[in-house]
Amino acid sequence: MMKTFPRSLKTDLTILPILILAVTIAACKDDPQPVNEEEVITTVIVDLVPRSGGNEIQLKWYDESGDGNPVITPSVATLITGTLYDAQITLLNETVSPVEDITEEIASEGDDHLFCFSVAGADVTVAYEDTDESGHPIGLSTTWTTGTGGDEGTLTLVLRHQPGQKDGTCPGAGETDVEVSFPIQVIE
Amino acid sequence: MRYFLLLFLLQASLTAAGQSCTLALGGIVKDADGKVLPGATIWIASLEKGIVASPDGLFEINALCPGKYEVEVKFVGYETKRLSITLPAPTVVIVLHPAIEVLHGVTVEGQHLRQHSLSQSATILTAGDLAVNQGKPLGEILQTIPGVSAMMTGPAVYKPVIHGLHGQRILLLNNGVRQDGQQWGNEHAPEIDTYIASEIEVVKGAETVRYGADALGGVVIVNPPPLSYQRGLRGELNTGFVSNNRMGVFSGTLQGGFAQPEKGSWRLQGTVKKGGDYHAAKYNLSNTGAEEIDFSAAIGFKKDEQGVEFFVSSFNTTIGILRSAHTGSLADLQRSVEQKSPAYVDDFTYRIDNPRQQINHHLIKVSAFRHTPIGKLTFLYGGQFNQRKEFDVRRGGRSNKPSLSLDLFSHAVDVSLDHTLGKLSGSAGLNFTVKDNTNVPGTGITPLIPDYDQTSAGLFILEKLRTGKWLFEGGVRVDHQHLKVMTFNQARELLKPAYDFHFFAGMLGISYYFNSQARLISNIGMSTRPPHVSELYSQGLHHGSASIEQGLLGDGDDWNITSPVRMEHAWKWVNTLQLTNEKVALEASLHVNHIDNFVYLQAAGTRLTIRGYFPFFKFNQTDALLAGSDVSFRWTMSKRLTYAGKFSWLYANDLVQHDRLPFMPPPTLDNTITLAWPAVGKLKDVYFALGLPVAFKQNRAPLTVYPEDIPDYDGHKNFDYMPAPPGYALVSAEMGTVFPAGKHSMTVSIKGENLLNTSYRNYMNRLRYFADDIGRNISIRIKYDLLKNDKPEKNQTP
Repeated sequence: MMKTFPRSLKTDLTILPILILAVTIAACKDDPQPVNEEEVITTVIVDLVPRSGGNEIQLKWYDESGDGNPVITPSVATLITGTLYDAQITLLNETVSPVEDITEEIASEGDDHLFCFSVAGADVTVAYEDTDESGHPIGLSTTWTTGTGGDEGTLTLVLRHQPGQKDGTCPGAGETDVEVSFPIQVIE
Repeated sequence: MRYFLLLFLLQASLTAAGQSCTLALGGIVKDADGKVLPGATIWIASLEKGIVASPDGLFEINALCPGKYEVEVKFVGYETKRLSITLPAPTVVIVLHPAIEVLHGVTVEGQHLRQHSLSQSATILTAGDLAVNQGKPLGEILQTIPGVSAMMTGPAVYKPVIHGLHGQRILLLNNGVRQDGQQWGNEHAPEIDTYIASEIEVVKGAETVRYGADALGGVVIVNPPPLSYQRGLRGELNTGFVSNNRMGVFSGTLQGGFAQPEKGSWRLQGTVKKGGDYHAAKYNLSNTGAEEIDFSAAIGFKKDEQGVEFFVSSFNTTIGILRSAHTGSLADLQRSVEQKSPAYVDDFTYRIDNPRQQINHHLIKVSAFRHTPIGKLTFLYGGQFNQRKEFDVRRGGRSNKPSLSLDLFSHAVDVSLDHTLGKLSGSAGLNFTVKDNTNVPGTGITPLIPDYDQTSAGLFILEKLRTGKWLFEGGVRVDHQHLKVMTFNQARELLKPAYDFHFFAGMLGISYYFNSQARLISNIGMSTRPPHVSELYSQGLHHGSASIEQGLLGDGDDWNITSPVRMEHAWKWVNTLQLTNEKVALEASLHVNHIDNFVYLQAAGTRLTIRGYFPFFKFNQTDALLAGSDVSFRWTMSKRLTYAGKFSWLYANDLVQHDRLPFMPPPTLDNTITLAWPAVGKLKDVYFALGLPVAFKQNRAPLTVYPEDIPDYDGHKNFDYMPAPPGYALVSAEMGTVFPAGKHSMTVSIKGENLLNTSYRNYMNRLRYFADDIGRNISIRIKYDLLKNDKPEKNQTP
């Protein structure tokens, strides 16, 4: 790789011009290409389907560029009291065309990933509905059970990346790949 | 063979001007291996007259009357020798022996240094100081010098810090060549094999006149031993075993001289190092292993008036970064700050997983000199290729793909002319450097720093004037730097901004001998440094600190390539008082550094991303003041017992915002008591030492804002995620000896650090949010000398 280093050098100061030439050659290079950012997640979608029928709800967290300023819809998601929802998470990278579905990557690396859920200020219980090869939950499929009605609260969804460290507990070791919060409210 | 005019340092004011007083006392000073000792002082106390040996070890004191003289010969790291010489006499060969007491306390004397100004405050780590620490990273070894600390990223990555400054403001000179790596990164340690060095010098003042803008905060000079042109084969084998990370180190050197076709010499050297996970007092530090393979080769030829040397070296390392320090969000960081131990602790292993760094650094150097009627002309070319790959924990099978992959080619040409004109001596020269930095495609991550080409040229002149007990120094330098950056805007269009910087540096210094035991040196340097490309154009997320950074030219989400770039202007003033006598050696220095347009990372709000909130830091400029003091003290209580103490303290302030600066070293105090015997039975140089290093709490740490409070923090003050850790004192012990092994000799030392297995966190460790520093560590080092031409030593040949 030492492309510009002279191969043989005489024991004399006449090497100076050769070296300066080598230096000059090294200063020319091609233009770089922009990087296609990988591992970007722009979109988190949670589809909620009431098991006993009723209105379906879609929670969406969308960051166009992947580096901040997200759009969160709906402004407050309203869930009905005493209802069991089947929840399905979808992760997308919409900076590329066609859109990349990250969900499959998470599912195939289920042993390395764990979704953690926490609810503040609302009566919602989240239960895992899927498991990885070791029998630990993943959290792409969950059920959300609502209790009594109340004020606006927050549901925070965290995707933990735990290669070789996953033991099924939240948050456990590893690092966070996704951390988004949705405003929710349980009503009659 | 006398190329150098002898350097007159001290001159008696009263010299008897008798007719017969025209005799000279001349000779050469060497060590037992035949290595010349430039800078040794030869002192005739009765006349208050003396001289310093020239770079080739020669000395001559003129205008002496016939008679008997008591002559004292001193050299740092060696036992002082007293001779009685009756003049007239032929030239003398004076052989000095290493002084064991001095080896275990850093003794400071800038007098014999030849690669920087004599009025600078400088410290030398001798071969003996290095021997007891071999195998450790360079930055860790340098911490033994007062005023020098290290910014750590876990137990294996040490970045040298001099008086609070690091990175682009500290120059590393490896075998005469300025080290060109990716110094901008806080987690990027110097790529140098310390086994190469026989001596390391640290200059704590600004040496920008000789070395350019990178030396604004100081210089670390790593010197291999000079090639020995003596005939015969010789060598050295070093092994080391370190308990904490179960590390083994092997290093060997083989060298020889030959007479055909010219006077020649060669040397081969290699090092292999393998260590596993380090261990804190209470838990394993998972994924902190490191491995290293280095080699170097040198060959030199010398004729009467000229010489040339070729040198190649290759440094290759893989370093694991604490697994738990890889954070994805502020919530992760908050958990780490709250927990007493890291989230992920596994059993000991030698395996190195992600996150890890893989660094290869190759150097080729050609140096030549020729003696001309004006002085010594030196030419140096250094070509370097630095390859840095950083691997993160990634999704989708991307973990074998580097997250950061940088190739940096650099070339440097230095030409200098040393000259002497009566009492005036000096050096003038030019430096020319070219750097070519490329992000190797295929990382799938926007690079932290862009591609760039940088060309710079500098011209300098440094002059010294010696008169009586005074030495005056002065120098100026002019520089030109051309920087071409290749980066992308938000619309993914290529931008090619180019910048031209013209700048200037100046220096003035004095040295005054009150008498043979006391000296005052003072140096004031003015430096200018254009911001580095990383300070102008860095962008992206840093996993270790869970923060987003943006360069000086960032403007909203994009770049403003035309906004003016201000250079840093620094005034650094260092004053040092040195007192030495039979019992006590004291060196105390005071330093002040005022830097206008000081580049630093300023808190600039938060950003909400898909991983939650991140603090957003933007490079900004302010005026900073750094001032402090370093003291080292050695007290020889008896023939056997020595105490050595070192203290350093630093005050740092942002003068515009009246704010504290992050990652400034807290005060430290180091105490060592050494008991030594010159010989015990067959054993030579036996010693036992007890150490008590103390680090105080950093009471001027920036404001604490816990990670969970970051989204609500809208101030611009500097902050830290955690309060500064409390101070700590560790206990260490060391013993060693030299014993004959057949025709050769073997040096053995055993060192125990943190013997009480104290749990502590070092303020300067960037991973202190995640884990403790290392626990008890016992190391054994063995050096085997293969000296085939052991001749009986001659002290004196009158």
